[in-house]
Amino acid sequence: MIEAKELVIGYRAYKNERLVAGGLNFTLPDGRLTALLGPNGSGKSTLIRTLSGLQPVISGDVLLDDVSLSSRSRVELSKRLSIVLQEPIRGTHLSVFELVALGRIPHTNRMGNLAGPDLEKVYESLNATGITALSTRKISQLSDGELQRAMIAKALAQETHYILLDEPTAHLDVLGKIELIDKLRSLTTSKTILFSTHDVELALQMADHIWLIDENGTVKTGAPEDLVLEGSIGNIYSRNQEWGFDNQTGQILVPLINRSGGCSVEGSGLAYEWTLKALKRTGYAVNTGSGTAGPTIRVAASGARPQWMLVRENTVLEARSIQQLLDLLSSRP
Amino acid sequence: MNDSVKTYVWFSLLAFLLVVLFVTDILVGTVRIPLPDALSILSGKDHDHIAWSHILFQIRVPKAFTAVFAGSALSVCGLQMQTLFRNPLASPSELGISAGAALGTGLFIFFLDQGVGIQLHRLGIGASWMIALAAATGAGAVFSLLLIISRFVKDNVVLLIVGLMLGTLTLAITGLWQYFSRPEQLQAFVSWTFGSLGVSGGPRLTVLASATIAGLLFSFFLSKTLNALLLGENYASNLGISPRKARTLILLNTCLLTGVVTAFCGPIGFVGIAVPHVMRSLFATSNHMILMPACCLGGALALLCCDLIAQLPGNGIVLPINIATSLAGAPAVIWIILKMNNLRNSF
Repeated sequence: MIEAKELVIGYRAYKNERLVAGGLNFTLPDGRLTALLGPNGSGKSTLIRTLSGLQPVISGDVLLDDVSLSSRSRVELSKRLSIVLQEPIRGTHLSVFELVALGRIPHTNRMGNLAGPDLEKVYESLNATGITALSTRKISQLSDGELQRAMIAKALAQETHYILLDEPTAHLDVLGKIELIDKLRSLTTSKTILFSTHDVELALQMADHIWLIDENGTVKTGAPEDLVLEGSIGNIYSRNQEWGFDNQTGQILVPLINRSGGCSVEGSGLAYEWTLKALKRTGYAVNTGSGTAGPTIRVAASGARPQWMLVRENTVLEARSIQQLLDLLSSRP
Repeated sequence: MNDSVKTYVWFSLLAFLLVVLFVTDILVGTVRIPLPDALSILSGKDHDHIAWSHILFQIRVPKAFTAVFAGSALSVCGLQMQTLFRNPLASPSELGISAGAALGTGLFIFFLDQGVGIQLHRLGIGASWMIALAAATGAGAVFSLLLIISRFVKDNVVLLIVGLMLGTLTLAITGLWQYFSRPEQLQAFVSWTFGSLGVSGGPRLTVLASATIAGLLFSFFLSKTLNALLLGENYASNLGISPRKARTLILLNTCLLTGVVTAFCGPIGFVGIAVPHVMRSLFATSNHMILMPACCLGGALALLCCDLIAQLPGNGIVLPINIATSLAGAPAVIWIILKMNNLRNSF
C-alpha cells in the first residue's frame, strides 16, 4: 500500500519553494486501478514524481508498504515500483525487446546480462501487452500507442507491485485510450496501478478508484460515482454548471450557441436523435412534439435511408441528409 | 534473430580488418620490410636483420599498438559522453579536457624554458615523459573543476555548456601564453598539438596500455548504467541507478582515458566524436553491450587507417596524425553517415 501522510509536494530550488499541493492524506488501494484526475497545472505529474521517489517531499511522508519512501534505497524502490513518464524516449536505435529488457536492470548482475528467467520475464511482458510481434522493431518505428505499450511492458518486466503512469493515454486515439486503460485494468489482478489522465469520461467508466486533485492542491478520493454524486467532479470539470461535465449523463457537454429561431421535431429512432443533436449544435431551440411556433421537422425512418420533411407555413420541403435540412432551415423563404 | 547474425558478421569483419590493418601498418614505412621477413622477425626466428628487428620492435609495433589503444580509448570516451549528455556533438574534447591537456603542455614548455624543467631534466626524467605528465595534470585540473561544478548543476545539458565554456577559457589562456611566448617554445607546442603515435616503445607504451585497458574495462562495467541512461535520468533512477553517481563515474573514466591518450599522443580530435556515430549506424543499435566493443574495434581501425594515410606522401614524409585524421576521416564519416541515413534516430 502507498500512503501519503500530511504530504506537501512541490519544487525546491536553492531557497525558493514552490508548493504545488499540501496537507495530502490518502492511500492507494491495493490491487486496484486508480485514476488521478485534475486540471492542467494541478500537480498530477508532481504527485506521481513524488510518489515514485524522483522528487523529494517538501514535508510530510509517503509510506511504501509501511516504510517511508525516503528511507528506502534506490535499488529497493526499483524492485517495488516502476514508472511510465511523459518524457520522450530517445536513443531510439533500441529495439522493443531491448527497451523492455532494460526493465530487468534492477534484477540483473553488474554487467546487466540477461539470464534465463530474465528473458522469460521479458517475453512474458511483451506477451501481456500484446507486442510480441513488434519485439525486433526499432522504437523510432513505433506508433504512439505501440510505444506506450512497450513502456508498459518495460514496467512489467521490472516486476514491481506498483506501476505509476503519467498520462499514458495522451496522444492516443480514442480506441487506443480505451484499449490501454482496459489493459491496465486487466493487470490489476496482480498489480496496483495509478495513472493520471485528462480523459474524465473514460476514467469514471473504467477506473476502480479516483484521486481528484484541484487547482488549490487538495485531493479528494473515492469511487467514481461517489465523487460525481458529491459534486466534486462537476466542480472541477464544469463551468458554472453550464457546460463541461454533466452530472446527469456523465458526458462532457459543450457551450451552446444562441441563434434566433426555434423549431419543433417529430419522429423517433436514431435519425431523430441525431437530428436533435444537429439542431442543438447549430443553435436552434427545439420543441419536441407539434403545435408550436416556427417550422416543423418530420423525421421519417422509412426504408434504409431516413428522410426529412421541413414544414414551414404552407410549404413542405424535403431533405435527404441532415446537412440539406440545415441548409433549408437557414435559408429564408 | 536476424539482427544478432548481422552483429556477429560485422564484429568478425571489423576484427579481420583490424588484423589486416595492424599488419599493414607494421609493414609500411620508409624502410621496406617484406612480409615473410617481418613475420619471422616478429615470431623470434630471424636474428640476422638487427636493424629491421629494431625498427619493428622499437618503432612500428609500439606505434601500431598505440594507434589501437588510443583509438579505442577515444571512441569509447566519445560514446560515453554522447550517451551521458544525450548529445550527438559531445566528445571528450568538448568538455575542455583536451584543452586542459594543451594548457598543461604549454605551461610546461614555458617553465622548461625558464629553467625549472631543465633542472628536473637533469634528474634523468625524459622530457617527453614530463610533457605527458604536464598534459595529464592539465587535463586533470580542468576535469576536477568540471566535477566540482557538476555537483551544483542538475541538468546535463547545462553541464555540457559549462564544459564547452571551460574549454574555451582554457584555450584562451593557452592562446595568451602562445601570444607572449618565443618562436622556439611555440614550435615545441605546435608539434605537440599535431599529435603523434610514436611512443617509441618501452615503459611509455606499458603505461598507455595499462591505463587504457583499465579504463576500457571500467567502461564495459558502465554499459548497464549507460543503457539505463538512454531512457533519461528519471527512468534510470527508477531502475535503481543513481544519475549523479553514474555521471561522476563516467566523467572520471573519460578523464582517465582522454587524459592518458592526450598526454602521450597529443590532442587527437575527430575519432572520439565520429566513431561512435559510425558504429551506431553500422550496428543499428543503441545497446552499449554491443557498442562498447564495436567502438573499441572501430576506433582502433580508424587510427590505424589514419596512420597509414599519414604515410601516403612517401619519400619519408609523414603527415602529423591529427592532420591525417581530419583530412581523411571527415569526408569518410560524412559519406558513411549520409549513406546510413539513420543517425537522426540516435538522439
